[in-house]
Amino acid sequence: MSIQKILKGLAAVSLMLMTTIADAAPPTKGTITTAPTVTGNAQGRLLASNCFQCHGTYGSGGFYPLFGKGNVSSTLTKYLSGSSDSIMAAHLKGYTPEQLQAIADYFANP
Amino acid sequence: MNRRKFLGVTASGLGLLTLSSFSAFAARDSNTAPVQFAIPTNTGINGHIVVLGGGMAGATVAKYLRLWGGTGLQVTLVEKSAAYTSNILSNTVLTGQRTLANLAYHYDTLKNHYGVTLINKEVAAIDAASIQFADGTVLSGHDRLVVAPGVEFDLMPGMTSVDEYDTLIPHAWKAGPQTTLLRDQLINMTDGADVVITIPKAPYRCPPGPYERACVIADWLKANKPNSQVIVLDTNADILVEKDNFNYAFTVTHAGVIDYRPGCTITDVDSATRVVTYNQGLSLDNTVEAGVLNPIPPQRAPKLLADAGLLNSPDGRFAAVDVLSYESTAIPGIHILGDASSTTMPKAGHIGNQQAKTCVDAILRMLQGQLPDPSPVTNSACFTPITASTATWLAAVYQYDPGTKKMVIPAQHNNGTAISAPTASTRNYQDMLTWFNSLMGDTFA
Repeated sequence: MSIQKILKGLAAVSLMLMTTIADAAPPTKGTITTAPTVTGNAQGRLLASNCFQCHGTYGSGGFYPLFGKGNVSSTLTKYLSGSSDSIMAAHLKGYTPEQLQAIADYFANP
Repeated sequence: MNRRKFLGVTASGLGLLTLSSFSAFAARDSNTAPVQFAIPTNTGINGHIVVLGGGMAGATVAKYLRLWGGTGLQVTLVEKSAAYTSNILSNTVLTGQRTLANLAYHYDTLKNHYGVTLINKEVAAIDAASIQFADGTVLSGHDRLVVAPGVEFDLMPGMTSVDEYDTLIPHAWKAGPQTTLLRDQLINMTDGADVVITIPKAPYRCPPGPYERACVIADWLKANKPNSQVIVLDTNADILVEKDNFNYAFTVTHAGVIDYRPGCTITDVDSATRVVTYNQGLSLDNTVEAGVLNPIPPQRAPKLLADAGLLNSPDGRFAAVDVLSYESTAIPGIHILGDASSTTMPKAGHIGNQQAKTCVDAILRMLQGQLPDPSPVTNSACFTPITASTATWLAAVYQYDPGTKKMVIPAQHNNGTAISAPTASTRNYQDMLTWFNSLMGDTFA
């Protein structure tokens, strides 16, 4: 099954789930729709929560899902070495390399 | 055809295009529900936290106290309104692109999923130990109080009552009935009359907001009142944020439609005649008559906080806080979040959300006898519509500086300043909708 088909299916399920905040629902750019188990790892959690406004609670959606992803570090590196015209690149400039690594580590094991 | 008329006609054509473009965007911004995570049962944290105010910061703090604190932490949210109406994107209600109804966020998920106890009452007074409600009842026995009440609005010079904002000259700086009134006034304004917007001295809620409002109204005027202008009387010496983008918007995108006048001192506002009197540099007692007058007033933390003795910022208008925990520096046990607090950060919803998470983390540590995280980071992202289909953005990251005990933008981030979009674009407009929905989901769902 293609990614597009999976996403389409998830979007349909999500539509049924929408109740209280119809207009608040984030658009899908690969949103996870079933809440995974959070391990309760508090290490790096507050720092990583800086990402939640745009990437969903615990990194669950928004612009791009980060929850449980092991490749956040390499993605951040690509942003930092690429064009600086995006809002993502602008944000990354505000964090130290150690902080970015801690954020990546958190999303790999939230 | 003079240049002004030419621009008006051209913009009318563009208006049709941009409105249909907006519809295409609108269709894709409500298609999935936010993920809701389970409340943990095993954190070992117990206590009772009361949160006063269900806006961006207050709702976030209520949600995350439960999400991170677990079922042992009782959370009570006190909010007099049945729903929160988003200030973010409320300028697009003025142009008819959105309705107030689809900017309304209810507390059902906080209550039903997160287990937050809601109290839907007006508050009369607060102190470190209790909350007194207007109906005479009292809430006490909680461990800490978090206050996120937003702002109140001063009268403009010459005004005698805040009722004038509700009936004659809406500020619409808190989305609600005044937003509707301002929208109606714009629709009913005679073509050729002018919209006058006044901007207060910083700090005020949403730094780019007034400039954004001038832009989207100008964009709307081109299509709907082609002989009208927006006159902006800015009491600040210059455009405060995104100067390049707004200067371009004022002088190119909306050339001839926005008349920007910086460095003004407003000396009188007549709400009946809609005449504003102001000084600008050495030019004194200038007057401008508005078809629609939209004064954005100076703002301060609500009287409730003044009465409690919490407004200890240097100017006495806001509440000074320790930004490691957002605990008041005047009264221990009370935390103040968002627009009512005095910090180096902007008064805005996105960063209010992050302040709330910092506050939650600190409270959870304090309940366990620990100190707050010594190096919190907050961030601000703000998308700003320039037309009905283009937007810019502004981004900043704040790190705790132990020397000054303030949150500062670090040197590696554009030499310690915010970064803005290179240009307004349709891509940014699409991203704005993603950002908005994700932010509101992280706050209310």
